[in-house]
Amino acid sequence: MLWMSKTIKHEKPSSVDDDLKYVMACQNGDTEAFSVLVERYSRKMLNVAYRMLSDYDEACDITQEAFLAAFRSIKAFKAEAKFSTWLCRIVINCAKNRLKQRQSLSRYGSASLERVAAEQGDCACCLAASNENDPALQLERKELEVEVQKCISMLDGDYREVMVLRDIQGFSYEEIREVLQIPDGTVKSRLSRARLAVKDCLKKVMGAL
Amino acid sequence: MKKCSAIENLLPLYSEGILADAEKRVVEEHLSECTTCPKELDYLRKAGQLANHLPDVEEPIWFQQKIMARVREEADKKSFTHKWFYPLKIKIPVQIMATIVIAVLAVYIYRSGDEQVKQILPGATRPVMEMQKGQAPGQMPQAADMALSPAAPPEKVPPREKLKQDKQTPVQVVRGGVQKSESPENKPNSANESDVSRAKGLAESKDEAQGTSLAEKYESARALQRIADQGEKAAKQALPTLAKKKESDIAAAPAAPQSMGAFAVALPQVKVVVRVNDLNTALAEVEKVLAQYDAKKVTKQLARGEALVLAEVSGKNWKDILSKLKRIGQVDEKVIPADKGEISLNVLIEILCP
Repeated sequence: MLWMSKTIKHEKPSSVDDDLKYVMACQNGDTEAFSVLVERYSRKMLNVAYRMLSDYDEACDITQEAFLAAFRSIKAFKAEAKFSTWLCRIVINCAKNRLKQRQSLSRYGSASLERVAAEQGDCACCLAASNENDPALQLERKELEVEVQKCISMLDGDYREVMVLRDIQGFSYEEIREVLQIPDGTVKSRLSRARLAVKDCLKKVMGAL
Repeated sequence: MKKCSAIENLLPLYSEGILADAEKRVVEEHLSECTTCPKELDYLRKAGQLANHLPDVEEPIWFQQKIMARVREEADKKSFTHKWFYPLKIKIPVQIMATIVIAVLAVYIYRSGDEQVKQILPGATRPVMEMQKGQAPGQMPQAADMALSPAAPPEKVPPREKLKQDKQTPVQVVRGGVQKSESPENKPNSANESDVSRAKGLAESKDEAQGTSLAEKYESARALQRIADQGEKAAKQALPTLAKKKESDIAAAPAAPQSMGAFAVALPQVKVVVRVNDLNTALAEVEKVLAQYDAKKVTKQLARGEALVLAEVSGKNWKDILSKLKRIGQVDEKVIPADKGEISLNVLIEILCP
């Protein structure tokens, strides 16, 4: 099952167990303990933000804001959920707010910022993980990734977040429910529609997949 | 067979394998019969594969450090507000409690200290304090005069015990000082020496405490004492005021221990009133008696119907002198001496003739 391939890659249980220790240290005023949490989750949160916004710079900005917001309200964290889930919810909310701002700006702008942002998906960082040695294959791969990202960025925010969390970041359904605070049926229906929309988009752009 | 549109919505979940068994069976039945839906399923799988294999973006350089820099900046802001606003919640009640505790402790220490002073110096401090309370500083020289001349305001004669107490403590102290200054030949014993030093100490400390005006008063008292030392000349200056006093005033004089306290330096320790028929004869006899018992510094003052005799006699002879005086006339002891043995007494004998 291809859609399940990313559900296996997940954070290490040991680091999850340790999170609470560092969170409590932060709650007791140890600012430096927060650096451990930043080190653990900054990359993952940046990727969530990037897939949501399709803009690398904005994703970096949103990730920083999200960590800052998490630090401000870390005393309100009561360990009812995992710290990573709680942090991801903050990132998603920040990203959705940014999307709303972008949409409101695009109404007054001549060019669609959404499209511009989608076109910026070919950042150098995206290729960092590529291990292809053949430049032609690398280019083809890059184009494919850009198209997929474009299709994802065409989705509405509610559908986009579900797909990013499940199909790109590999969150479990339970974690998605916790992050998005929506019921399981809603998650599945949104995910189903999002996948169909992306499939249609890719079929339209690339012809026969 | 269901329509493809109904099956198509189930295909994404079917590919993930999370459909219920009933739905899964329906989808499988449809896929076996339909030609387009398996293709759609294939597209879905390929799209999913592409999405799953989207690479992770790398963090920019110093990304974590930038985040932590902003976090530290935020923490500093937090601590700044904490520093300035936290005390309002906690420190104000603490300060109020501390103030109350300090006030209660101060009152407690003040009261306990007062009791301790009273216990340590029951006699010495009391007259001084009472004198300070009862008299204004400007009245002190007058009080000194009154002490030399018993012209105290009319008061009731104090009970003997109180009188004794007053004499045994402050007057005794002062007497040592008088003895030392007046009669250097009568060397006081060690107890008296300590009394002298204590009296000086008290006088000095009192001077320091009460400032210049009190120092002047003390100087005036010492001047009076010097006058008494010089003998008749000084006594003559002092005695006219005594002669003008009535018997009631004289009797009332010892009843004012408050004014006697520090100015008892020149006061006689013994006062006797002798009522006689013939004043001159009685005066001569009294002088004889005093001469018989080696009285020193005998001074006399005559007035209408009364005479005053001031002398210094030995304490051991006082009983004999008193018995002789009783033969001369009707003796009325106004101030009874304490049993002082060898110590000299200042005796004021007032001879009254009706």
